[in-house]
Amino acid sequence: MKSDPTTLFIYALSVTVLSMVSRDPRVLLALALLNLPLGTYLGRKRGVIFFLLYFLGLFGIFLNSVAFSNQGTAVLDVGPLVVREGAVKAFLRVFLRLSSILGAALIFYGLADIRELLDALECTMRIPRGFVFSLAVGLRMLALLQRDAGEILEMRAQRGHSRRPLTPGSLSSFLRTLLSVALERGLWIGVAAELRGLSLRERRPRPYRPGLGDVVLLVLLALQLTITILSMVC
Amino acid sequence: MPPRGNWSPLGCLATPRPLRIPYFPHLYYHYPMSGVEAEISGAGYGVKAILHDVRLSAKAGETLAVVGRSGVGKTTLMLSVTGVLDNLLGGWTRGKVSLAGLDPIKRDFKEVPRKIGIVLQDPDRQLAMPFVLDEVAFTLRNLGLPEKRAWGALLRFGLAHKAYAEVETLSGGEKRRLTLAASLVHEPEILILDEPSASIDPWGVGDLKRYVQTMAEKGLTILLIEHKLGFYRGVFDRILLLEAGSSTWAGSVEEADPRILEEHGVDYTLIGRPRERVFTGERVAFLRDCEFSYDGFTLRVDELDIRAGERIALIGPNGGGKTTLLKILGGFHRCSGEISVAGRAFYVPQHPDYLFVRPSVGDEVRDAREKGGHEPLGLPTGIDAGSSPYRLSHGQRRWLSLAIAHAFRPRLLLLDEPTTGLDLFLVEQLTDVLWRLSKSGLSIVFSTHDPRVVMSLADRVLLVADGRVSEIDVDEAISMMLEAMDIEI
Repeated sequence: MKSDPTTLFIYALSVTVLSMVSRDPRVLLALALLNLPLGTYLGRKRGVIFFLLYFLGLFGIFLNSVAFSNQGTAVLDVGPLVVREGAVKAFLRVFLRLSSILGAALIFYGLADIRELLDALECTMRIPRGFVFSLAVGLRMLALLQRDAGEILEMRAQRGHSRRPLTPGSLSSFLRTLLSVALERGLWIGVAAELRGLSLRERRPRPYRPGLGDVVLLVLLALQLTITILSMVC
Repeated sequence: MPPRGNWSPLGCLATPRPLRIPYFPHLYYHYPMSGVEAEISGAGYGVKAILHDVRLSAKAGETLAVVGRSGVGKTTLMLSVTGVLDNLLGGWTRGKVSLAGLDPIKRDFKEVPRKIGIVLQDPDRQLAMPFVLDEVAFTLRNLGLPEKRAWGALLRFGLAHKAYAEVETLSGGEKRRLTLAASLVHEPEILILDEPSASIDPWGVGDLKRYVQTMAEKGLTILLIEHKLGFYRGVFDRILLLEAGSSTWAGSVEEADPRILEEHGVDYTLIGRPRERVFTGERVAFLRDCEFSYDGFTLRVDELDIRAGERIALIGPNGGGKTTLLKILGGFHRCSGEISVAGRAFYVPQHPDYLFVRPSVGDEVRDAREKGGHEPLGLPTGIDAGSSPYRLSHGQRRWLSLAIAHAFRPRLLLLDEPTTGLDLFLVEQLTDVLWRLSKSGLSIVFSTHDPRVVMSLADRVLLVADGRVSEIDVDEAISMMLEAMDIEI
């Protein structure tokens, strides 16, 4: 299913906005069910890092829910940890929201030809060059981040630390190394890009030519938009 | 560079029409416009001055090597001269800089990219685009030049067949060639190279040297920042020596005294210090009929014995399987066949940052002591225990990673390119420490592209190329590396 990068970008951005504005769990469930399975299928090969970030995010959301919304009747009682109804509801809401965003991101990433996408963002959608450049670097950095994450986890295990950073302490230690390496790399890539004339860059025109894939995505988006609006009106 | 847009000698009175100028890159290269002049009385960040008194002069068409120990301010000088320090990094420069007739610090920073090409130490910290062709076209699109020129640059640097490949699939040498292609595609007047040979194999260094030499012959002004000056003999015309943020000596190659340069951490002669063999004969590790495959690449080791106290160098081209072999020995990859390591093996990666788990140097040392069960190797003076390990210099990070490894008292120490980015003093200090450790029975296997390290440290050499491992004579290995680099000693 080939789609124009412009459509893909509009689709992913719109689904993200819809899942952020919706508060009704039924709508969030519908959005997640429409996007996550399709996204998982389309982005299964290229989007491994998204899944990694998703599970890390879910863990953080769970901790956050337990810390700030743990009210109501107890649902789970495991020694010192008592999970209450409020925490479960808060977790489920954000979980569904994140699942639809992940699904849309995977559809976007799985179908987009990265070269065409960057071109479309800059020339068709007239997105500022700094943003497009950051996205291009981000896409390149995804592969590097994946490599860095693997190396860091191996080195942690070698030093007698857990290979799976599941506790807040080990997660922050893992992320600190990952981000330090990425930030340093990002800084130099930025310097090099400026010295290669990024700030002198000018746009050139690029036509938008939608095909069958674009129509399918736009129909799917219209469906989600309708569900969201109806839930707000009724 | 030809004028862009319409131009008419009569201004608005005449009808403007496109001015067509035939474009001959080779001719253009033979007639460079201007060089680099800088008189810097201070430069740095906030209240901290890194440069104090630097006078730099590279005439048009000249190749100037900027040399000095790690941390003397070579990279800061590059940032200052290009205007990056003042305009992008929030730093400051006092003094005057002229870069191809521009004032990069104040009014002309935006125009600098049209005049210069820049190659940084680590290609992964420079390459911005996900695909090869886009990386080269990025420079052209930024500068409003025809993107089809990118193909010419890719052809020139032997990358045309990989134009649509993802940058991440390239080898280290190919990434280096891509940075050169992307830096030269707009035909700049000045090329700035910041330790360009740091991460590439000897064959890549040989190629790089030939490219730089060709550019120099065509009249490009070149600033070369490098510790391993000996790698580039015959390429540069003049040398600028930095010491503690000030230029202490400048002169032609003929005037240079190799002893003075080497006293300042610059390796001019490339002669390593061979040390006695110390291994005891007791077997620490062995591999037999070992095979490991990933992503279509297979590494095969027929037989390898490692004895106590032995120092084994792994050499070979980028992507040949050196890191894979180290990781097999370290237990990170499971291979088919027989493998046995008596006691603990510890792998120190090429990027030491991967090894850090704590927010400060003191915590790192404590953690290593606690998890490793032994006292780590002492750190050099000047490292504050409270500082973040990620804020240390590259040499200090390298040292800290070795200290951590030592706390685990491994029988087999595995080092992945341990001397990358280190100056002559640091290389010698590191080889001294490794030699002392090996005397106490520690076996060391290290991958390297540096013939000096093979000369100084290796008892045995394994050539790892195309997924095969074969043992070669130490002298033969050194000759092979030097020949690949096109160096005669």
